[in-house]
Parts: sequence; C-alpha cells; structure tokens
Amino acid sequence: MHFMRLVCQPTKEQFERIAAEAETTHKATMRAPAMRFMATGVSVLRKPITDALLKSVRKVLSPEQAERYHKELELRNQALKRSVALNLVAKVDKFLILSPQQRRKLSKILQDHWQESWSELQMLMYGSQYFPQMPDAEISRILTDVQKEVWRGLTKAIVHFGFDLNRLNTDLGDEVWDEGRPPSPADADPATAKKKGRAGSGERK
Amino acid sequence: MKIANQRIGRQLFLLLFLLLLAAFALCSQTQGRQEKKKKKAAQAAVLGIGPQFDQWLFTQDRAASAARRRLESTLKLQIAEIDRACQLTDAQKKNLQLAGTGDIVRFFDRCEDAREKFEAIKDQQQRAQQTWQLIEPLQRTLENGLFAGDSLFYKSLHRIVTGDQWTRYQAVANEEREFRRRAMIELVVASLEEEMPLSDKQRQRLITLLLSRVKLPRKPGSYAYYAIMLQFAKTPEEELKPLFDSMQWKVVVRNRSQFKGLEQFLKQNNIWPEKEDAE
Repeated sequence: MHFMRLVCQPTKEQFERIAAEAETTHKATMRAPAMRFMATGVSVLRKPITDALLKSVRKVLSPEQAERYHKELELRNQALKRSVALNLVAKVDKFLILSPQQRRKLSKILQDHWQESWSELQMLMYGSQYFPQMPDAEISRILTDVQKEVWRGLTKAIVHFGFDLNRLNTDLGDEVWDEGRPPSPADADPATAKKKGRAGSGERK
Repeated sequence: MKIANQRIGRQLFLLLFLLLLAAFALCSQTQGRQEKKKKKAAQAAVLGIGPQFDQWLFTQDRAASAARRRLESTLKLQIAEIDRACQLTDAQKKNLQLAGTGDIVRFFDRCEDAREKFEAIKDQQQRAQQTWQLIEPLQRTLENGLFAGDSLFYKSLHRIVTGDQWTRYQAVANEEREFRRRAMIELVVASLEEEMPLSDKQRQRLITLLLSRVKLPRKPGSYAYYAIMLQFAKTPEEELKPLFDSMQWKVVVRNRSQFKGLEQFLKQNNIWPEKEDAE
C-alpha cells in the first residue's frame, strides 16, 4: 500500500476505498500462495499481492495513475529478474570460469527462462552451495567441453527456504493515512523537495 | 680361478638374496600399510564415517573423488582463462598446472588430516561438537576458491607471466570482479525491496550510490553478502537518507542496525575489504 501511495499519490478518499478493498481481497489472495507453499515449499508472495492491488487500483484510480503503478511494478519485476540473473551467473562463474561473453549470454538465458522460485533471495544471499534447477540444454550450448563436464557434475536441487520470518517481522506495517506526512516522491527527490517544500500531497483532490 | 668364480658366485647370490629380502620387506610393508588402510576403511564403512564425512565436507560433490575431479577441471578452466587473456607459452601452462596441482594435493592432505582427527574421536558427543570445527575451514577454502588469494597457483602466476601478460590478465580479472560487485549490490537492493519497495528512480539512485561506495569483500563465499550489507549500513546518513521517504527510512535504519555488529567478525576473518582492494 505504501508503494502504491508513493507511486500513484491517491487522494484520501481513493486511498480509503483501495484500503477497504485490499482488506477483503487480502485473505483470498493469500490463500492460494499459502496452499502452494504447503504443497511445494515455494513462498513467492509478492506477485499475488501486487496483482490484487493492481486490480483495485484500476478500479478506483484514474487510468494514468493505474498505468504509473503498473509501470513501476513492471520495472520492479525487471530489476528483480536482473538482480537474480546476475547473481546466478556470478555463482555459475565461480565454478565454470566463464568468459565475459558467456556471462552476458547466460544472463540473457536466465532472464528469458525465468522461474518464479528463483525469487527466493536467501539462496543467493547466504552463499548456498546448491544451484537451483536451471535450463540445462540452453546453458550447455554456450559452454566449452570442460565447462560442460563440470556443469553436469554440479548438484542442482530444488531448495526452498520457506517464509523469511525475519523479513516479515520488519515490514512497513499497515499503511495508514497520515495527514501530516504522506509519502511523496518529493521525499525521494531532494531537487523536487527543495522546489515544492515539504507540503504533503495527501490532500490533493 | 675356480675358487675365485665360486666366491663371486656366492657374493652374487648373497647380493641377490639381500635384494630379494629388501623387496620382500618393502612389499610386505606396503601390503601392511594397505591392509591397515583397508581395515581402517572397513571400520569406517561399518561406522558410516567415510561417506558421511565426505558428504558433510563436500556438500556440492558428495564424494572426495568427485571433488578432486571437479577441482582438476577447474584448474584447467582457470589456466584456459589466463591463456585467453595472456597467450601463455607451453612452459608457462606447464608451470601453472604444476602450481595448481600442488594446491589440490595440499588441500586433500588437509582433508585427510581432518578425516583422521575425525575418526580418532570415539566419543559420539565429542565428535558432534568437533566435526564442524574440522570441516568448516576446509569448506571455506573451497568456497573462497582453491586457486585464489594465498594459493600456490596465484602466487606463482605473478612470477610465471611477464609484466605485460600480468597487466592483460588483471584487466580480465577486474572485469570479473566488477561484474560480481555489481551483482552483489543489486542483490542487496533487491533484498531491501522485499521489505520496502522502491520506485525505479529511487532504485537507480541507490544502486549508483552503492556503486560509488561499496567494495568487494576480500573473500567470496557465504559472508560476502554480510560484508556488502555492512558497507551499506556504514554509508553516511546524509548521503543515504535523501533517497527515501520517512517510512522507508525507518526500514533502512532497522536494516542498518542489524548489520553494524558484524564488523569485528568480518575483519577477524579477513573478509572485510581493505582500502587498497578496490583501488
């Protein structure tokens, strides 16, 4: 909700309508990923939540505001994919000693064959020795014979870390309408902040 | 003449006998050692020590033989990479191969020592306590790379190649380091975004700021992320705060405080980047 406010700058009324809708759809939205987690161990919650919120945003806000939100979500998703792909390439590189060209090609392969389960960042953050399941056929095509031999021998496993409770405990909390200090892109842009001063945008109609 | 011949014959017979005796002694000694080894292996197999120890130590390869094969291939790849950058002579390749093989042998000697110490611990509770102490330094060597930093391979490389080749190799190595640095910085930003989404503008600004400040840790591996996160935590507030709104800043402050206590540990373990590392 905070991200939506930051990007879309809704009025108080619009915010409250979206918040009310989010309240009712939240449980239903969480049920499917929770069931999926029970069945597969994959705990990717971001997409179902943002998808549900996007629906509400489209219903309540202007097409321009909704488009702005949608675009930011897309950019955020691309940034995540890029970050994961870069880190998987760095991980593979450590074992296969890739050339700069191979690193570029592998990064593209991973982004083109994206798997949602790679979004579990703990695998990359804490230096797990294991590799996730990756598109072997495409990867093998860009490797030398010795690299192929090493690649074949590496353990690729379906490793899930589950919910990162530490992170869930330190989230932003419930977004509440704060008359005194609504989020504003100006807060994140010192140049704009200077021009506009600290005037909040929450009262805009 | 006949007596002399008989004497020579006797001496030859004695010499042959002594040679045979020495060969037999050597043979039985080797056989004894092998039998001892076999017996030890059989005992270890009964106790499940050998495979268990290997699986704990070589988490990626599962067995010492597979790890050795992989490391030998990695050495080949490492030499091929240097060759791509420097066009090595056959003699240089041979010397690098020798140095790298030395690192592999040295590493497996350390593994063997650790295994012997492990097997010598009869008490189960003591074994459980000490296993990690035996295995962890070896795993860290594997994580850091057998041919990096203070390895024979890396030390010899500087001596084996010419100044010009060294410069060319450093350019390739720097490119790889830069790739890794960028990847780690983007990972830190992505992990921060799990708690606190950023707009694209904020994200780009944060990445640019971190690229100007954050250095790669001295060693790769499981603590590298902490080293980068700690540098994020140490970035001056006046540079970082203007990138976020007030609510986001609260999350940043919480994150920064979580990692500040790690500096001593990272320095003690030679992970924290030195000033000159990125210069």
